[in-house]
Amino acid sequence: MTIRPDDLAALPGFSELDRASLGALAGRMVERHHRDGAVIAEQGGLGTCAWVVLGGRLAVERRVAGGRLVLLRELGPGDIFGVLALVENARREARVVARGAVRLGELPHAEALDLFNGRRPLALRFQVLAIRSLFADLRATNRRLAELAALPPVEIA
Amino acid sequence: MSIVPTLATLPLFAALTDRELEELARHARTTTLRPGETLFEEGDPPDAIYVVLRGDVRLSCAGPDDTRVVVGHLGTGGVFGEMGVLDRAPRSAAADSPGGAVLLAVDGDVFGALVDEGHPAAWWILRHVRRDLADRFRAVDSRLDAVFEGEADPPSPTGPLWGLLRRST
Repeated sequence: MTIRPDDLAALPGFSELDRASLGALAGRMVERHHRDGAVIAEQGGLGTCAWVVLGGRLAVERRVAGGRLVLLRELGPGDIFGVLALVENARREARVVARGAVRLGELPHAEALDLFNGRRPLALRFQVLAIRSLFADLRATNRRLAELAALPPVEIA
Repeated sequence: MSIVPTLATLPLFAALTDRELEELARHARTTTLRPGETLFEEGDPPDAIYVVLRGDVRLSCAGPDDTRVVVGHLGTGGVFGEMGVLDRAPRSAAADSPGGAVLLAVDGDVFGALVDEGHPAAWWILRHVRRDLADRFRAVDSRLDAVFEGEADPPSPTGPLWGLLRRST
C-alpha cells in the first residue's frame, strides 16, 4: 500500500508542510505493518533506516545492567525515530517494540540520509520535524531517568 | 558596522560564503546585553535562536528554596535558545550575561524562512543542534546505566537532573 500525502498531513507536526513537501516525503517512504511485540529496532544494532509512526504506539526500551529492560518512553503518531544512529553512523542506544498493531513509514537508508543530511528546503523541513521529535524524546527520557534515579534499582522490575 | 567579519570567525558559520554571511546578517539582528542583564526568563515564550558573538551567557533554572542552578555557560560561538524556537515551547531556563555580551538573534520566523529557502545557515544551525542532541542522549544513556550499576549520585530533591538540561532553552 502506498503512503498518501493525506496520511502524513494528519500527523502532528506534519500538517504545517505544504502539499508538495508531503507528497515528496510520502513518496520516499515504504509502508510497514507490524504486530504487537514486534521489535522494530534492536539496541546495539546499526542504524540502517529511520521511521515515521503513522499509527499505533511503540515502546522505547533500554537494556541495562543485569539484563533488565527499562521502559524509557512511548512513541505515537507523528514521532520520528531511528535518526541519530543513522546519521551518526552509530549503534542504536535503545530498542523499539510495537505495542499493539503499528503502521510505520519506513525511510530506507539512502532516502533517510538524503533527508537528514540534505540541504534542500524539503530536507531542512524534515530535519526540523525530526529534531522536534528528538527534543520530545530527550525530555521524556530525562523525566524517566529522574523517576528511576529516585528508586532503589532493586525495586525496578 | 557590519557583523559579517565577526560571523566569519565562528566555527558554526565557517563554511558559509561571504554572500551567505551577508544574507544571514541582513535577516538576523544583534542584541547587546549589559553586564548582569537578563535576556529571558524561564517560562518566557521563545523568540529567537541566539549565537554568542562576544562575551558570555549563563543559563540557569530555578532551584530549591529560591536558589538558581546554573545549567550552562556559553562563550563566543555558543548557540542557545534553539529548543524553544524549534519546539515552540516556553523557555526551560533563564539566560543572562554576567560580563556582558553581543548576540546574533535569528528570530523564529526568520529561521523558518531560512529553512524554506534552503539557506546554508539553517543547515549548519540544524546540524549543530542535532550533534548537540546526540551528545545529550549519550549523557542521559550513560547516566541511566550508572543508576542501574549503583554509581549514580543521589537525585536532586527537586527531581530534574540539572546537568542534562544544559542549553535546553
